[in-house]
Amino acid sequence: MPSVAANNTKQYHKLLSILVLFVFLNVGIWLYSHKQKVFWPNVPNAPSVTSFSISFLDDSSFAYRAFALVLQNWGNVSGEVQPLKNYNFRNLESWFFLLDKMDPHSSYVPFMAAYYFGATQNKAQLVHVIKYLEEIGVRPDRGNWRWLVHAMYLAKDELNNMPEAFRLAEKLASIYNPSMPAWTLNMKEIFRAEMGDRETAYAMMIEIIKSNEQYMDPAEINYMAATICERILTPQQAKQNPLCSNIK
Amino acid sequence: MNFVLTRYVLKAAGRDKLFLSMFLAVLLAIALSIFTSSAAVTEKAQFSIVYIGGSLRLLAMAGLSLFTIFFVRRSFEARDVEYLLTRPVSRISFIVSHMVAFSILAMAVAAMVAFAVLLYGYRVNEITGGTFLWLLGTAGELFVMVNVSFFFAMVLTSPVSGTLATMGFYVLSRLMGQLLSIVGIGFAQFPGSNFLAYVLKGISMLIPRFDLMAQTSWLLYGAQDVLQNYAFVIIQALLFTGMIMVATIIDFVKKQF
Repeated sequence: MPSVAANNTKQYHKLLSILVLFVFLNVGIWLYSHKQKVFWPNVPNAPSVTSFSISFLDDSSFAYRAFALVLQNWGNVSGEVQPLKNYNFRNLESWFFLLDKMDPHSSYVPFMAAYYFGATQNKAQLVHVIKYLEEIGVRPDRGNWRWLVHAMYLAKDELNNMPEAFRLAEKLASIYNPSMPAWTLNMKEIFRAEMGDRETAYAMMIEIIKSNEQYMDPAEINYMAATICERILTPQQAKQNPLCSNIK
Repeated sequence: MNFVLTRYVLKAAGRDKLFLSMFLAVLLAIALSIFTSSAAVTEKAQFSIVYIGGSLRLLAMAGLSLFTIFFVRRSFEARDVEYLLTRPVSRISFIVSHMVAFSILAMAVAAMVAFAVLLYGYRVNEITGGTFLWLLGTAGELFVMVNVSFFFAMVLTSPVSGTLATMGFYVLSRLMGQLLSIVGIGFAQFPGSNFLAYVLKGISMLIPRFDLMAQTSWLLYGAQDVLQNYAFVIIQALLFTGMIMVATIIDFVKKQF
């Protein structure tokens, strides 16, 4: 008659064999799964304000901050970063407006729209960014007019759509108030003058920094400086400009 | 009101390491909030203060509710309640003493949250008048929730159902504004929707509006109608807790052991 110890040893070996079998089965699954990549579904259409708000227990500020970061990292899926031209900008626009409903005072999403999504390789997509920046830019809130100026810059220098730039210039003049610099009243005339595109854009950007510095996050000023030095000025001009001395 | 009973509950909280656990959880939530907000390109301070505020409020509510429910159910199972009632303590005094003790715990945890938010807010220069209103709102929310947890723990015999009921109540209280606006707009069009709208309106009369009590946006942009908001937070917290206290007393007085 086998002893208790022998029985236990037999049971132990049986369990060990089953464990090894499960380890091999898991390795078998790994052989299939390790080559699989997460499919990037592109930017979906934004949900309604109510359902979005409900999913964050009606904490709209928290919802805004949580999804603003999602927006920033949307194309980053399992180590692969999608170029901006692959994004569905129509749906992206719906997210801009949804997040604006969650927090209409923050500059984060307008900043992302202007400096990040505004750098898309497919210039036709810029119409969605311009539409959003225009809506934010006309609001009389803490130097918001700078977003309208940025929309104008995108329309004129990136989209090469002069009628759109003129329309936005008219809108900028129509919202003029004494806290804004005088040149915002005369953008249409400045466009019509002999001034080259790059000079106009440079002058606009410098004036925005000068007149809005108190409302702007230091990172936003850095991004503006990078835009000036890397996209507006030529490499030779950038070398001579003191603003660009710290841009790497 | 029996101060010995109140002290007994407070000692139990110390024995269960409620404050130590909450303190560690608060530290973890702050660290996680700062880490997550560091990914933001701009407005890092605003991101972190919103994450800290939102997460601490939820964490404090969950910690206090779980402690209350499990403490009460354990007291019933260990026959502590029956033993205490053999002493010269009336049933009303038993409930009031417990509610006072749980409210003191809620205020202590709210003070911990306030200390963390004010310290971090001061560091990143994000303290507005709304910050103090938000802190009072959070304290009011915790005050109500800890007493609601006590009510469910006394009424329901299982700690799981007590926890689920408390969480359900919290979600309903946070979403009541949205649900009422859905009813108000009237886009819920299906057979019987009008009847359901009346039911929801009826329920909403007995559910506090947590969405109005501690709005995270106050941490960033301050609040309008500050005095009105202070009054609303205090009055709603006191009135609702009064109602819950009477309901708990009625249930306990009728209970057979």
